[in-house]
Amino acid sequence: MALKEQISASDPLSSTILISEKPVVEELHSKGSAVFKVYPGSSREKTVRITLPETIIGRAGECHFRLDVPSVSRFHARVFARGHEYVIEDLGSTNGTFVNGVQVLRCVLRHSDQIQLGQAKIYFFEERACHRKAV
Amino acid sequence: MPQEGSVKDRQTMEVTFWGTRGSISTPGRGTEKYGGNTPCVSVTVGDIQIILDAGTGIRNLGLEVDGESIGKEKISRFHLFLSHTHWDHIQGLPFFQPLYEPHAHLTVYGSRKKGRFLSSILKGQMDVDYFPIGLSELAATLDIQEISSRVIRLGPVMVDWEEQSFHPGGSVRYRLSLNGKKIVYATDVELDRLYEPTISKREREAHLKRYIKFVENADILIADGQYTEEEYPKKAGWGHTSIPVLIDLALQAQVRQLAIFHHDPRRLDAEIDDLWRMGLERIKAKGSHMTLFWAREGMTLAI
Ligand SMILES: [Zn+2]
Ligand SMILES: [Zn+2]
Repeated sequence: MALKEQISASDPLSSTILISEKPVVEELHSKGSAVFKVYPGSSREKTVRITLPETIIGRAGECHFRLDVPSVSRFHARVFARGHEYVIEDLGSTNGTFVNGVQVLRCVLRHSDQIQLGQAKIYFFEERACHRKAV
Repeated sequence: MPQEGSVKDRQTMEVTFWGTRGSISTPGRGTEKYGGNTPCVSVTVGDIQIILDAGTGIRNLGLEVDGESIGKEKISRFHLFLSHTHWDHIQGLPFFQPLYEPHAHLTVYGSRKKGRFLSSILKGQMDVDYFPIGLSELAATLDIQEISSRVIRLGPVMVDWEEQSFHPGGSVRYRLSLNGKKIVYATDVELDRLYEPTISKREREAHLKRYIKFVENADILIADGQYTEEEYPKKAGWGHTSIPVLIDLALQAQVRQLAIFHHDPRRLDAEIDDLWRMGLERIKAKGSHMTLFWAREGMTLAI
């Protein structure tokens, strides 16, 4: 099932959610899952589950996780699985990729990291038994 | 489709933290965010691979470059700069995979201010009593140099260094420059000692002037900030700096980014998060825009 929810640029920090039609990679399941959240804890909270070995985030329609915000580059960053971890990598974006306020080229993601792409802020949560309460 | 994000040109220094923990490795859930491996930082400029210290973190760096480039004859030449030879800064070396590759070439640079030669110290940790393979049995070409010149040039990168005064047995700080950009690596030094009453005003000013001049306007200063202000009095003389002293000196030197490094082995991730918040408040109160963070394993910055 593909669910695509567009939110206009006048709502700058919102996200577009795309649930992959591709089969979930089995290998990733065994590593425990992870999600991105927009507005965590609020009534507008949105969750994007990371299911692909590589998720492209950006303003372009082709992106797996679309952020329709002007300060976000068309192909802004990618998140990929490496071993038992997820890594975010900037794709030469105009306004940079920040993890907890630090501009990074690449960074292994950890539970509750705040990722800023241009003006858009998203949060990374690992879903493990002991983390479920926090999520 | 998107471009490959990795900057493989010779205009950018890619700084990666492979080990940020001080003294001893600390695996476990409580330390996985900032990492449990002991000091190792890599700085890549095109095909030039510079490594700062060979703590346990160097093992993961070795595995990555081994999978990526050895055999393809891309990066097979490494330049390792040692701050000093305390265990936490050399213990990963025997586990650096490229050492077992015949095509790899590793040059190790370190201080010549030791009672023993650097090569004999490194050889010692691979003596048969400690490790099954001797330093002379490695497949890679190994060149151990005690630094003699003020400046070492590695392609477009210039490396200069200074002996640091306040660490048991001594330590060296390094500065890497490329096109006006500067990375300073200054770990294992007890800067709090500068403020001891036993040190004369003249001596203090001379030390401070030298330090500030070296780190001034650094695009990133990677520096020892092992202790909190409260912990420091009990650890005085152990050779490590307290966080507020480091932050204030970095502000004075107009450093752009301060990466606090050599985390105390007892420090849990949640505690570092709290220290980070307090550090940011200190910087804000002083009206500065310096970026402050605690160095984290698996993080790469472009300088
Ligand atoms: Zn150390
Ligand atoms: Zn030391």
